[in-house]
Amino acid sequence: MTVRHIKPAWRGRRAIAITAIALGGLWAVAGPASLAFAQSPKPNHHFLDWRPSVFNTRSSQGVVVEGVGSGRCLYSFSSVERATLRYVKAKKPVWSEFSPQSHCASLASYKSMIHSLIRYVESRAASRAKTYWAGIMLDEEPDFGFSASSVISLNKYTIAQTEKLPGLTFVSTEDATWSGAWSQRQYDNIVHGTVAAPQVYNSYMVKITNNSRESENLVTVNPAMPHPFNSASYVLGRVKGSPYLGAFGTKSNTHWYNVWQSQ
Amino acid sequence: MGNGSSRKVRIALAAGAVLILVASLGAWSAGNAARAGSANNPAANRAASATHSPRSCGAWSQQGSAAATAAVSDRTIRDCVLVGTDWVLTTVGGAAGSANVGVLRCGGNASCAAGVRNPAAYARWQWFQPAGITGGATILAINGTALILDVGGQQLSFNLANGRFSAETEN
Repeated sequence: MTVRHIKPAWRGRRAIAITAIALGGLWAVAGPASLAFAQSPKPNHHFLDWRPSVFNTRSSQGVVVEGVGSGRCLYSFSSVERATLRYVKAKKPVWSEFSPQSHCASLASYKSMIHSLIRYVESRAASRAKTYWAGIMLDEEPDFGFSASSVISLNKYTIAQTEKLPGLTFVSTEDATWSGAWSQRQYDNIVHGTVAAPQVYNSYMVKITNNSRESENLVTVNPAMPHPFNSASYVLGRVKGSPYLGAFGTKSNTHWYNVWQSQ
Repeated sequence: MGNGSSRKVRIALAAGAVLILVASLGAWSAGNAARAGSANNPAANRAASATHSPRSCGAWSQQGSAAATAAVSDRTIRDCVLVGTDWVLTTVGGAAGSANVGVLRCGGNASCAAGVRNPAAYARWQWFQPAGITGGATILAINGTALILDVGGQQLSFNLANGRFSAETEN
């Protein structure tokens, strides 16, 4: 039997050739998008927004109770509590969302609401909450009346409140910014330590998301965004990193994105 | 190493180079097609409209396109949605005092409401701003023909039927 020895130089050239063929073939078959950013693995489950008065367990794998401003604004805090508990008891993966706005409630009031919501759910359905309550989603935006440092304070408080809970209950930040508003550094500091759920509604937010330190994102898409960002597949194909991972009582790993809808 | 191995490596290198060249040409062609899909290129827009979801904002709403710029100038489009037969644009990032809620009423014009063609071909945008409140507008929820908006940190209800803002209170 003849044993062939290949010199290191030839091995290197052969490796380059094989790599070139593989890349060329991939590019030729799948197009340039195959070498561009995209969420990987591709998300296979999604959360969908519903206002608190709606109870819908059939339209999506997971739900977001859309509390908007609460406090002095719609929707009432108690309705968010009740809706969250109902989904948890129904074994439906659920986020409880607020959009903190300075004219609806003070920062201290939002912290108090978050504390109360946790006590409410945990005292009534702790066992199921650890499996099905994804946690508290905060929609924070530069025009909502709170400074970057204020929302960082709110997020840190919410992290501290949720990280000691059993199971997967945590905090996500469904944030957005734009040119001239919160900077990349501010965005990074705001979402740090949370599940980032960026509202990717234009190229600027693509850049913010892809330049952030977050390797995992629960990408928020919205059919009410301008073209072409009203397409989930378009948006998910432009964001790098991995999607939010949450089993929520299933045996398989599920990868998520988040869909805002007009309710 | 013999001449046979050397030839194989050269062939492999050449094949890889050819594949990359072919793929690059394809990518260049695809890129040109994508760039051509602007608001200024009706042919490309007709092609894009073939995959357009009915009653969602078409290529005309793309930030930076001629149609979008005509509607919002240098403001950032935050939301774009058809509510009933009214197109609604909200914007952020404009000059202080900008009106950031735009409404275009299609009425009974089905082509206007379809969203494929720039609706400004059928009606004009009207811009609204709540009295005494400045700041960008974001749609938080839609309740029938009432929009729940944030404008500059204030959660407001905007009645599409009459174009009036009202303060939201706890229900």
